[in-house]
Amino acid sequence: MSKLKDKVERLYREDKTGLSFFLTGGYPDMESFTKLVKYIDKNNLADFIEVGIPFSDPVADGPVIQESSQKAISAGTTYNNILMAVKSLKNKIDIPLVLMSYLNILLADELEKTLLTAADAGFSAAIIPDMPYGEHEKALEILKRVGMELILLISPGTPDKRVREIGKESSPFLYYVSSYGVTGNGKKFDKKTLESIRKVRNLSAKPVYCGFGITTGKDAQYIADIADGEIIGSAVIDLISENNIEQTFNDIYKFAINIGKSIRE
Amino acid sequence: MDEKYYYGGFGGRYVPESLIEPLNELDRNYKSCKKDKNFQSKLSDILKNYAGRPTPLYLSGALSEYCGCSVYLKREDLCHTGAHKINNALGQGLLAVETGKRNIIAETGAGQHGVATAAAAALFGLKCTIYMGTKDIKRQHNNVVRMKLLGADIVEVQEGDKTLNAAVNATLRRWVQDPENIYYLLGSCVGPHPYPAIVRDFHSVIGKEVKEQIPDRPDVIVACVGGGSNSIGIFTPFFKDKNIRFVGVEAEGCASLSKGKVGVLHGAKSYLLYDKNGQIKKTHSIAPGLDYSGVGPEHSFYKERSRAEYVNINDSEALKAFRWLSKNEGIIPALESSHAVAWVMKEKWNGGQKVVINLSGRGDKDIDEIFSMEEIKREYE
Ligand SMILES: Cc1ncc(COP(=O)(O)O)c(C=O)c1O
Repeated sequence: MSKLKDKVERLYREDKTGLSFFLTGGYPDMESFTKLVKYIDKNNLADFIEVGIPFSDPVADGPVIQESSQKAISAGTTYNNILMAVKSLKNKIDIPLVLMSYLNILLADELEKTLLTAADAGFSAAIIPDMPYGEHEKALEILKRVGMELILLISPGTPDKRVREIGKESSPFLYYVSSYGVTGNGKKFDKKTLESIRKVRNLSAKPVYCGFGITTGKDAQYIADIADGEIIGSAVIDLISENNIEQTFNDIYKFAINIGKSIRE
Repeated sequence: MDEKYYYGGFGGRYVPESLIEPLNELDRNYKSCKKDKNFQSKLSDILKNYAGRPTPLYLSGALSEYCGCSVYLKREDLCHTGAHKINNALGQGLLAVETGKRNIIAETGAGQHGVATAAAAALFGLKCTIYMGTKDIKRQHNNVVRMKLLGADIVEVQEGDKTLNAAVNATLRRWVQDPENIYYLLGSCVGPHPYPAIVRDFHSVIGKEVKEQIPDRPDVIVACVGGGSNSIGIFTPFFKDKNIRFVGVEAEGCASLSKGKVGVLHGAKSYLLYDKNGQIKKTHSIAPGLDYSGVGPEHSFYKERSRAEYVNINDSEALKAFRWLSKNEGIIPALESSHAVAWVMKEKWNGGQKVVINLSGRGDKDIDEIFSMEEIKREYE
């Protein structure tokens, strides 16, 4: 069983809300990025980390992640050097890692090869935001072969039948996109969000993690009422200082403690 | 993978999950309108009395003499708003009306699709927002003013390559936020299924008219390819006649079909220009409507099956054809269409051939940009 699956299932059994942070690979630079991963791991600030591969045309992302991606690309960040950096952490960190990449990055070489490299670097699962259920079969088959899982997304408009089907294929959890729109701060969550998550939980046996737009402790607390876990992206990226890693450590530490309190009390 | 979303191995629906239901809805609505006699007769009426169809098929004396064969121009430049784009804008605009969507968004490169969409929105009384890259806003200023006059809001897209690519990204992001209320009026035969099919169908009126207008049948049909809508529109009705040669002319700096690899962008698997790391390449063309890194999936299918040839023309060849046709035929072609003209002028022909060029648009929009080039300005002074 993958490290990620193990962790997600344990949290689920213990009825603890899972917490994941998203980092843009290679941002603000490769060295700081790897230090951040280590820091989050060492201080137990999150249950797993999503590593985003920067893409030139990220249609599912809002301004914060777009900008961090653009900067990383301009600094020469590539899929391969992010994977090399991640691989170098293999025996040094314990935290599970999830690869988040747009499909074209993975197609730049044979899909077999790019996904094998990801597995080899230590990723437990992949999220491919522009490869919805229905276009996922080939990638899923390869991912299984290389020992990774595929996490599929669900949106507020996904019909019940489709939620059930996605629930069968997505593992170890379902990623519920908490509101219409792209990643980013300042979304409003309301009763409808909670009802919608509850419905998805009822339609599938798998845990439901919620992401897109979770910014404050208050958001996190609200969502934690129903969701099995939460994924925070733009709000984390916003805390990253481009030239002061100590400052970033401090800010992320404070942020994580606040969120942790909010979801686990 | 659902075969019906594909052309051979190309196409599909590579979009965020939030857009799957809206695309299903669009697919259902389009299918029912396509069958609906009432919808079709409304559309034909508007195409005839508002857009000015059928457009003439003109046997160009100057080009025929230059090339030594019969060269016909399909005069899409005479359409209302100045390009073929109006066929699709009116078709999809009517679709939006019939399905109760009153809020239209669209991307534009050259501004032709933006102007056509803004006109359709004004005609149907819809709210219209156009996304356009900073670079294109500068070089197609005239069209920006036209869109404003027609009542559209313009959103300047400053990210990415600041041209069509970035405009599509921004429009998709906007659509994801409110797919229930917004109708995305996509301007070329690109994007996720069913867009490539919808856009093709609304433009196939071009080829259907040519079929009726040309004495006998054409030997060669030539059209410029940006996303590929004017070309697919003139090719489609002749698809089954394998003896007719199809030529798609790309701009040299954005030749996804002749120089790209298969990849995924803006919802479809198709030929695409990207670097070895998978990042989409920034393109360049003097013709903003061709300045795009991808191409419609059906063209990738045509290429793979060798049903069409795809060639490319550089900026200076296109500019030469632009000036030549203006001076010798009295027709100022769009810089996009000038690529098709340039290829025909370059090619060797034997006397008996009938060549049809799809003159996709008129060049009024390009005049300011061209006259900002010092060497050209001087020549005409
Ligand atoms: C006059 C004209 N021709 C051609 C094009 C290229 O688009 P397509 O390849 O979809 O016909 C454009 C796009 O803006 C245009 O304005």
